[in-house]
Order: sequence, then C-alpha cells, then structure tokens
Amino acid sequence: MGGAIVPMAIAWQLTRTRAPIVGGAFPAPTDAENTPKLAIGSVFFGMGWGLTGLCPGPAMASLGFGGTGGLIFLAAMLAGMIAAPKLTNRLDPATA
Amino acid sequence: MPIDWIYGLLGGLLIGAAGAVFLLANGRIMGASGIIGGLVDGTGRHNTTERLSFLAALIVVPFVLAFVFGGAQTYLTGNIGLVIIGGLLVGVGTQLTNGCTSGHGVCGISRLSVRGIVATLFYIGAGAVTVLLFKHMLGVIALETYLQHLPVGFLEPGF
Repeated sequence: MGGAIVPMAIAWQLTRTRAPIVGGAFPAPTDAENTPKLAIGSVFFGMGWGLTGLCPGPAMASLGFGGTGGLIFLAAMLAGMIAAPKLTNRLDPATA
Repeated sequence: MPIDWIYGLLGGLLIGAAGAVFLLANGRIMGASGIIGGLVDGTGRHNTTERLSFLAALIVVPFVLAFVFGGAQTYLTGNIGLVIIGGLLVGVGTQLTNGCTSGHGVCGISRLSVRGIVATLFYIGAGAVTVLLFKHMLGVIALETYLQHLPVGFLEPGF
C-alpha cells in the first residue's frame, strides 16, 4: 500500500491545477461525515479480510485463477453488499 | 523470500498509477468496493460502462498474465465456511464504511482524508487482531496456495 500511495499523492497534487480529462470536477473531500458507520464497517471489513486474506480488489483480480474458493468469496461478498443497506438503516437511521 | 517486498512495492506502484489515471482522466476515485457496490445497489447506473470496463480489465488482465506466465498465486483459506463468513463481512463492511483498501487506503490516505485514515486504522487493526486470534492462537485458518508461480505484488494478502 505504501507504494500505491506515492503515485496517488502526486495525482492529488495535480488535481489542484487541472480538470479531469473527460470533463466534470474532481471529487470533493467528505471529511465531515465521520459517522459510527465508518468505524463499524471498517471493523467488519477488517475481520473478513483477516479471515480470508482477500479484499474486494484482489478478489476480483484473482477470479480468473482463484478456483472455487475465489468464486464463493465473491458470491458471499456480493450478498453482503446487497444486505448492507438494510443493516445501515438499523445502525444509523439519520444518514441512511 | 527476500525479494517479495520488491514485487509488493512494484505492484503497489502500479495500483497507485492506476488510481492516478482513474482520478486524472475520469475524475473519479478508484475504489474496488465502490465500483462493485454501485453495480449491486443500482446507485452506479449512470456510469455502468465505466464500472464494467474497470472490472472486466481487473479480471481479464491477471487471467491473461497467469496464462502467459503459466500460473499465478493467490492466498485463500481452504475452509469454505470461513470464506463465506469472510466474504459476507467484507461485503457488508465495505458498503457501511464506503470503501476498502483501494478507496480508503490508497486514494484516501494519499489526500490525507481523515475518513480514509480512520477507516484504514480500523480495518487494518481488526484484520491484525483477527489473524492473530484465528491463525496464531486458535489455528483455524490454514492458508492454501493456489497455482504457485508468478509473483504478482497485488495478489499478496495485505494488499
């Protein structure tokens, strides 16, 4: 992750003086929304990541050769993503 | 292996470069869970093509590389029950927290986003405690290696 942050940090610097090539605007920071959802979701994600060794990007990247386990992980992850909004409503009704 | 960290660094630089292109060209944050999540819940309907192209390349390129180089490696526990529970947790968690390693970790930290940094501390902490507990103390997780060969940095656990 250390290696990935370097080019990204340079890119963020470039966004100060440029516009996206396809037009529009760069995404604005959303630091105001530090809800409990952020922490709870991160803990869930970290636990799943620790249990399996996969986070969403590499899960997709290894689909082509990850075998049945990779497909099962993806199916479970998609199911979790579908279920998430329902959980969100219960956890944090104000921001849902 | 002593050269593992070099591959990790190179893979990381490539991921960062991908995020930089996605930001500078499309004006968007490259977050894997957000790109998938927008397709799942329908909030990404206005840019479905962008999302599908990203995911297609993310799946096809490693597959081609693995094919050309005669293999690739990925780590996944062989316990299917844990894979399902882990997948559910990752799915629910990334949607609640609005990001994963790429969105919060790579794109968030690099712009010094408080949300990105807080989220990363929480998920890395939770991940470390989970591995410590389940692998080293309870011994439940045995990491199985599929098709060993190609050292591709971004396939390592922890990225």
